[in-house]
Amino acid sequence: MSIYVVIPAYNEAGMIRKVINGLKKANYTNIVVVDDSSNDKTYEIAKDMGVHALRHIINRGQGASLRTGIEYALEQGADIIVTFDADGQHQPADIKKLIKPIKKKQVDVTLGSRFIRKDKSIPKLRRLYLKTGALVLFLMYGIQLTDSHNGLRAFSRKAASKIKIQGDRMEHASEIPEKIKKNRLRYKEIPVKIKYTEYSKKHGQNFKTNAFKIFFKMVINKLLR
Amino acid sequence: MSLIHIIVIVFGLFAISRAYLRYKESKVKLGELLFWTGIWGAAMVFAFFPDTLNWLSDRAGFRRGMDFLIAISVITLFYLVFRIYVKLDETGQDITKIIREIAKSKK
Repeated sequence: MSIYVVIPAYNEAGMIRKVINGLKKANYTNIVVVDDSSNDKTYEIAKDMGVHALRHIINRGQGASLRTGIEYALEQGADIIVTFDADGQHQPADIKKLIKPIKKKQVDVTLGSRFIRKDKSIPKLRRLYLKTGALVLFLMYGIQLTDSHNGLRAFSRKAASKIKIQGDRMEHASEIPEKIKKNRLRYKEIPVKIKYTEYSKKHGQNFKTNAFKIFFKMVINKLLR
Repeated sequence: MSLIHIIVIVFGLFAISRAYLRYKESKVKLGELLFWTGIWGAAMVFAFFPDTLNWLSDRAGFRRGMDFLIAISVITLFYLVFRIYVKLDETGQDITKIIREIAKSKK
C-alpha cells in the first residue's frame, strides 16, 4: 500500500529539512512538498533532499497547495494520502495512528485532533479560536469535531478523489469537513500531539485575522454554491 | 438648464457610447449593454423630467425623489460589487488551476 505525505510549504526553509528528515526516519519515503512560491530556499532544499518537489510559480495559498499535492499523489497512484504541516508542529509518529483505521477500511478520512486528550500546552487564546471554529463548523455543516484547524489528516484514495478543495486560501480547513459530510465519507478524529515551538507560533500568528476571512468566505460560499 | 443637467447628459451619452462600442467588439453581452443603457437612460430622464422621479418615488413610498434615487443606487452598487466579487473569485480559481498544472508538469 503506497502512502504519500503531502506537505504544503510557504517560506519554511528553516524547518523543512528537519520535517522531511523526520518523515524519512519514520520510513515515509513518498514525500510531496508543494512550495507555494516561497521567497526563501524551501523549494531548493526539498528538491536537494530527493523528495517530490512541486512549485507554484505564484503564491496561491495553502488550500491550493494541498490540492496540488493531493492531485499529484493521486496521479502517482497513492492509496493513502497524509497531509502534514511544514512548520514542524506535527509528529511523524502520529501518522501511523491516522492511517491505521483507513488501512482497516473502517473509515475514509482521519483528522488529527489536539483536543481529544487533555493537553495543557495549547495556548489559551488559540484554544478559544479553534473551539469557536469547531462550533461554527457544527452550526453550518452539522459535523461535530473537537478540533477545527488541524493540518494533520489522512485520506483514502477514494476520499482524496472526492474531496476537491476549492478554497485557495485558509478556508479549506472548513471546506474539508463540509465535503466529508456532503460525500457521506466515514471519518474519525485521532488524538495527535502538536508541538508549539517559537517557530510554529510565529508562523501561525496570522490565524487571528484569518478567522474572520474564513468565516466570511464560508458564508459567501454557502450562499453561492 | 443647470450644470447638473449638462453633466448627466454628457456623461450619460459618453457611458452609453462606451458600452455600445464594447458591445460591437463583442466584449460585453447584449444584456449588459441594455443594463447600462437603462441606468444612464434613466439618469437622463430623471435629470430632465424630475417629476417622473417624484412620481416613482411616491409610488415606492419615499418622501423625496432624491432619497429614492440614492436607495436605488446603493442597491445597484451592492449588486455590482457582489458580481465583481464572484467574478474575481472565479478568476482566482482559474489562475490556481493554471499554476497547478504548471507545477505538476514541471515535476
